[in-house]
Amino acid sequence: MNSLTQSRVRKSRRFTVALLASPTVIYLAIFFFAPFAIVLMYAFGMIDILRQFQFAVTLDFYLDFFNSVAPYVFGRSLLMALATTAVCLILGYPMSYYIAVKSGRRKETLMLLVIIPFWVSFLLRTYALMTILDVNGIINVTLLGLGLISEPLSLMYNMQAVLLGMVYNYLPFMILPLYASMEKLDKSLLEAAGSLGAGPARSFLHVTLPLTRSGIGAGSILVFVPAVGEFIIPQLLGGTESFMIGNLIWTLFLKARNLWFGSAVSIILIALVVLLVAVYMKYITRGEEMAI
Amino acid sequence: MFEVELIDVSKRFGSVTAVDHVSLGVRKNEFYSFLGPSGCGKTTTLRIIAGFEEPDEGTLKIGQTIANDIPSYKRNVGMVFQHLALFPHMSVFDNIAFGLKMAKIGKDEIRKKVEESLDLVGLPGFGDRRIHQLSGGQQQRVGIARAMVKEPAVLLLDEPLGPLDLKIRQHMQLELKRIQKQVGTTFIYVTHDQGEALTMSDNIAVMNVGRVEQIGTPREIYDRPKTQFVANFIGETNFLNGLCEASGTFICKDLPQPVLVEAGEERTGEAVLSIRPERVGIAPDLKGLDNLYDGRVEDLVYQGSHVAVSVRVGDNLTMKIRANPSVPLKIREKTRIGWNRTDATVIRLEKDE
Repeated sequence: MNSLTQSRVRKSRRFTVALLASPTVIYLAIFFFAPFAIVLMYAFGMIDILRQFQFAVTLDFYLDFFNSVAPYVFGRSLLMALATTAVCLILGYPMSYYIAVKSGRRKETLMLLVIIPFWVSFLLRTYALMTILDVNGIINVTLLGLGLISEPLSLMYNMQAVLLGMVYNYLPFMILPLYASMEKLDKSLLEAAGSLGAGPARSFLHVTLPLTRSGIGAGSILVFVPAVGEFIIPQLLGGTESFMIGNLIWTLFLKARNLWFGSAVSIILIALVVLLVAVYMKYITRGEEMAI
Repeated sequence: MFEVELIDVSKRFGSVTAVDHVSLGVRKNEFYSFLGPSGCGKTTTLRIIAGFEEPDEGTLKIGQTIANDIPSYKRNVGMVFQHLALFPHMSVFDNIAFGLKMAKIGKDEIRKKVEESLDLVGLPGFGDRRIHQLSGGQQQRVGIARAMVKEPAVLLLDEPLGPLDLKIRQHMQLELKRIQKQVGTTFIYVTHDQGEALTMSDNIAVMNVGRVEQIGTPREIYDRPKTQFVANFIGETNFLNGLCEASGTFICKDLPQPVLVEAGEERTGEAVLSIRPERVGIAPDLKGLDNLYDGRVEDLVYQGSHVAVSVRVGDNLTMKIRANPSVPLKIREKTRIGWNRTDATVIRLEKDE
């Protein structure tokens, strides 16, 4: 093949790639990059009160951030997201291990049970949780009926209820990647560790855990990232003490109509999450490329 | 007495009996093979010794202790896996050092031992490599080094050479034998390759459908098969059906005159005569053998070191013979075949078969 036809082939290939990518690129441009650019402009004060574009950049809204309750709300959101991730990992890891390694023929059925909640909308599931936790909910009615309590417990509108709702909704996102990484795990590696004198605990520590690290990483990110910005669950199940970043942004945009401060808070949230995820990925994939 | 002993061990998976009342004993420093076709229970038997499967019945002794309830990580038994099972997230060094680390041995000692074992398997200086950077044969050597570095009393090998190609395989057979002699560990080796088992073993247990068919040295197994299965599975053979008399004659209706065989009470009754193709003499003027029959050459296949000949004797019997290429033979020509009584083995048919 001469160089001319080669370059022609290369050109037509490039064209095909561009054609295949274009729907995604156009979609992202309209629904992600454009709104994001607008948010950026608001956050740096490039749009004035009359909604006119102006050539000026200010960091005022970031200074406002530190003079408000926002840092406190941020801290709480991060803690809630961390707690959600931790609980999901603690519950999800043994569950995935059981399904992937020990369940045998019931594997498909069990995986289906993990996925089934997705068939019901997120919002409906959270409302369903409310009917359970409510003052007149199933738990209180049952306990009152049995005479175990004399007045209804306040199970809702607190941190615990929000945590419960988040774990309930995000658990499958932890289980699925964990399951995938455990499914790949060669069971004879555990036998090999056994024959080399490693008991169950040390086999787990030295073989299972390092080889499922990618699953732990993926699952944690899939839970942590949406949990930090969660808005519906604290809105429905939480009270004032569980006011989170999502609620703050929602309030700033839709209640206070402060698009500038709301944008600044959003940008800080995005920057923080990207930073945390980057550090975490670096940590979790350490040595990983060698394992593949 | 025995390093590893199985007494009446059985293992069932659902309705399938994988290991059916197996009894055998492996002596110290012995190269012992479990030989049989796939699904004969040889790997399950090995996994019972390793502690990966629990026997449903019977007793397993390792050393002098009953090991049925000892978990695998407390048995002093090493294992080389068919599909290697090397830890992909560790270097060659860390793979081999794993067992030593589990035994809480000092760092310097570990380094020394790992390097010694890398030398032993012919991979000096490979410690820093990643597993995926090694060839199949090299990975197999790492697997052997990893299992041996703790100096286990017994080393179990589950068809370790299966995935390798023929040349490396033959080389590794000799290597394994060398390592075993050098270190003096008891080896229990699972294989479906009869050539491999004959070459390497001190003793062989031939297995079929979960049962031990015969235990013996390679020579005994090949020359004196006790069952039709053993005779057929190991090497090629000719089977003649008939009746064996105590006086040492074997009457086969397909042959014009009775076959002279070794006399003995234990052989009397309905039986099968097994004659190896290379033990049968062939020449037009053959004489001086205990049994001589006239026949006609049906087929000739030149195979380099020998000629595979089919000779029709009588109406219903064709014998396979390995002839020396220098013997003048032509298709459809008359010839004569024969063998001495010691060249054939009488296998008495079991009553239930």
